[in-house]
Amino acid sequence: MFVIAKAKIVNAKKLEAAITNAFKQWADQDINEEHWRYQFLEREWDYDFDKPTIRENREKYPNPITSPRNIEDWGILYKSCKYNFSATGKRIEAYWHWDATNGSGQEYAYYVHYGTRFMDGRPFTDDISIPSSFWQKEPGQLLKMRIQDNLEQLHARSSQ
Amino acid sequence: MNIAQLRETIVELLTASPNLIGNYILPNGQAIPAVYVVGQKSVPPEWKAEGLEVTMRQYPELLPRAGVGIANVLQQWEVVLMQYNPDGKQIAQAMDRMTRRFPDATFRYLPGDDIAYERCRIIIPDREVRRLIR
Repeated sequence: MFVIAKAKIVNAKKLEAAITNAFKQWADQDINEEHWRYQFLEREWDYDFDKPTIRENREKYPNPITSPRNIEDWGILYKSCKYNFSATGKRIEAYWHWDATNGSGQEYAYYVHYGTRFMDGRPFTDDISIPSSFWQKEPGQLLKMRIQDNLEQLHARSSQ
Repeated sequence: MNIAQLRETIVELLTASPNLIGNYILPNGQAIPAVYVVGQKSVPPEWKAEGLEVTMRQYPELLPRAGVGIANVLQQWEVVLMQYNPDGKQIAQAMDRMTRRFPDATFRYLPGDDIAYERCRIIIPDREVRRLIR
């Protein structure tokens, strides 16, 4: 009498393609379309508790703003995001770069993200860039779902 | 771990010989170690920092995950090392000690310029299993 269990992975290329597709859907839709909008336009960040400031965009923000606040202002930083997705060779990579510059010609995403001598940082990439918490935050959970969906679709196709 | 334990651990780590932590100079001229827990208030602007400053957030970010009768809670503590004297080397030694004490932390080193001081932002994960309250 025997008990035999067998597990196998067939067609690893299709598996790889499904995971690549899941990662691209996640980067294109969950992060590029939704996550950054939330981080820049909706999320309320702690910011210099005692120092309300007047924003440059007075039309939209006529009154001094205190903490918490969003990042938006004119939306220049948000709109300056350059996104690139590449899946070549052994590396699959999504890449974002905010290249808006200040009056001195310096990119200022760095100062918004990490803060300066005069203001608190608003680390808008933390949810996808801190490894220890990635899978417990929304982006990580969405990536898991994307991978699961794509693998289930692959399984359904290969079972037909 | 709570904030008191985190503070004690870091102060002990960074004050071990040679001491790396700088001073706050208060308006009355008194010098105190430049360690501050940021809660409702940031470091008072009238306190002048010298050397290496250590700040930490009073409350961690909490990321709970439900289990059977328990919550598996990931706490993420944020600590910032800031080098106020541009020629100082304490931040490099402090980062070295921190990496050896908290090997699973995420370190973001940021060089200084005319707008921001040289600094290192450290996110320290701390997992705890807690019983549910019924």
